[in-house]
Amino acid sequence: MAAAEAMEEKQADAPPAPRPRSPPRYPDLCGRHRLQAGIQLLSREIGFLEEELQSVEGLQPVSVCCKEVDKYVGTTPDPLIPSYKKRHKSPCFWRWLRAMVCLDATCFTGGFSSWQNQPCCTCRPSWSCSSSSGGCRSRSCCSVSCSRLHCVIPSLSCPGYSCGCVCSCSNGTKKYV
Amino acid sequence: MSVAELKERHIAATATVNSLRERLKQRRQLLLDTDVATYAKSQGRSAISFSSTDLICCRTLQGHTGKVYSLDWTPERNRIVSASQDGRLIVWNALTSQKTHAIKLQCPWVMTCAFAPNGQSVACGGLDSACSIFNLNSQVDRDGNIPVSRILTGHKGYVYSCQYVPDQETRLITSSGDQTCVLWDVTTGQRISVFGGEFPSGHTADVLSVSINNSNSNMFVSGSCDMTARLWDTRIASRAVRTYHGHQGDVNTVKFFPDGQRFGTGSDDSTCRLYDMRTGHQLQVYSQQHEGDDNDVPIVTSIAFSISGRLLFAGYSSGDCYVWDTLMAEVVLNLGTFQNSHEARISCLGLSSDGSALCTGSWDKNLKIWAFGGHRKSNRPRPHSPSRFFTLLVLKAGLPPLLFAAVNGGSQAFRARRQRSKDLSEKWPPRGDPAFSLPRQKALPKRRLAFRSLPSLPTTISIGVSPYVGVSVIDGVFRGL
Repeated sequence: MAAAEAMEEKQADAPPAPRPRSPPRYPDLCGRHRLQAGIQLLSREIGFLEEELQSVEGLQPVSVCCKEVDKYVGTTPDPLIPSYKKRHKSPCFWRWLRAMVCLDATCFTGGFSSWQNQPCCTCRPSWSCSSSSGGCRSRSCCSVSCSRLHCVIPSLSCPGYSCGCVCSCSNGTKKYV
Repeated sequence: MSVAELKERHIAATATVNSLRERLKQRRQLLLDTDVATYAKSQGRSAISFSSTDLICCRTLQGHTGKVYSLDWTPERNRIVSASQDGRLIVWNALTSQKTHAIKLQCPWVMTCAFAPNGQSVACGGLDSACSIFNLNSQVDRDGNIPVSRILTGHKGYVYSCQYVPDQETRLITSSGDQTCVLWDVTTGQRISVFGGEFPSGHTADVLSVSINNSNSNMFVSGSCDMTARLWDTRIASRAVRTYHGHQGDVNTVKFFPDGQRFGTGSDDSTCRLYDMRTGHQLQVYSQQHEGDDNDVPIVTSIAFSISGRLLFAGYSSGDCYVWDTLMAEVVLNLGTFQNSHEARISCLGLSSDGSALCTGSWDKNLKIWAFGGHRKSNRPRPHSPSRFFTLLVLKAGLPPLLFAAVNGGSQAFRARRQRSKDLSEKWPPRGDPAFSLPRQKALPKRRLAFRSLPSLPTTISIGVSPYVGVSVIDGVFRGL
């Protein structure tokens, strides 16, 4: 009891508890400068945006740009893009086909000898294989009958078509002359 | 004016800016009458169709011991420089897979590299906030390292991307984490212009990528973490020419379209977008539906356009590399699904200057070169790239086969050798070795060789292929003469 009263007296005599003072009202220079700089930036941004709004008025629509892209891409070759075109028939097949058809054989003009002399010629059909114009050179070939026209497939030495008559010989052997 | 009044003005100005942006967005929306895919479909176009062997991985460049962060091709001569977390730059010969230079860096945290237009120097930058230039022809020091020839200091943040100005050996543009891009004069080491920064209007976050317009080297675009791309004129550093909005995440990569009038972007929002440079329109969005939760959506790390612009290659953090048909906005191929594809994130990719090969770099420490392995209707060198395509003329079969290749109208002899199954990266091949190695490509189907005679060598048989795919070696014997 006495202790409590002593405590109260002490508290009454003690100076009042310190109350921290609020900071002095100095002008907030840092904040002010920052705000001013920020406002300046925003004003610039407003200017740019207004300019852009004006420029958008006369702009072409997106479809025009898309057309330009489409045109550019379509006209530029690209090494990475596959281009599977319909394959042409291989050269060998064409050669074989032409050999079988043998549409052209002017090489017979003048007979076999001229054909012999001119192995590279165009292939033209000629059904008149007259015996008077020559004969089979080979001994075993004794008669000439132009039973069938045959064209030789072009080779490196003779890239043209070479055509000639097939000799039919008495012994049944057929030879080219 | 009191602070309170300034605060009010600031708030009002912010509101004005926001409302102007909204009006601009609506006006642009009115002009968005179509997109590239819708237009192409209306013209009857159909998507490119690739078979399984059309685009193949024909080279794997092994040698880095850390993640590959960046790569760049030379404008000519088919060399690649790559930068890796192991603190090295490696210069590769893309045709032979050989390493021609290995540069040990002072700061191993490299993030970007670039080749100079003449192919004699390389630049790199990273967390050291500087850009280092190395001359490949300089004498090595006592430790066998190429010394740095110039360091470009001035950035206040990391250097994330750099590119030389085309056809100018002395100018370089870097982009940085300090929200600026800088144009440098390499010979003096001085900054010519700073794009962005505190006062001029520029990016408001880290700038991650730059791409310079090949048709007009005064213009370049930059992509940033502020979700925008900006177009700059190097002659006007005070403000960006145009800002392109649309992305919902960091813009990690930007690349100009081959015509120089448009550019593509790739972002953390997993989309790529095509913008028109002059009008600012967003022409197309390239996005793919992803399964799984939103946290697993892969981000686009790098993009490149094919030389015609028809294909857009996009590398993702998942290790995928989608090949987009830019006209149809469809994925026509995913290089990440191939058996020999990368095993980790694709961090960088780039197309060779002639457009015949794509190189990808990955966190799996490898680089891979992809080229066209299928049939093509014409094997003639194209007029706009006379130096890239060459034909292999097999003159003599046997082991090792002797090849003559017609390059740029001249001819050169190569002795082919088989590529080893293991790349012995410890052994450095001698410089200038012209040997052309022909990898064993069992995946390629056996096909007949095409015949085509050249006027200069009429007795040879030529095999028209791209320089990268080479000729299939099957059973150790050439199929041919």
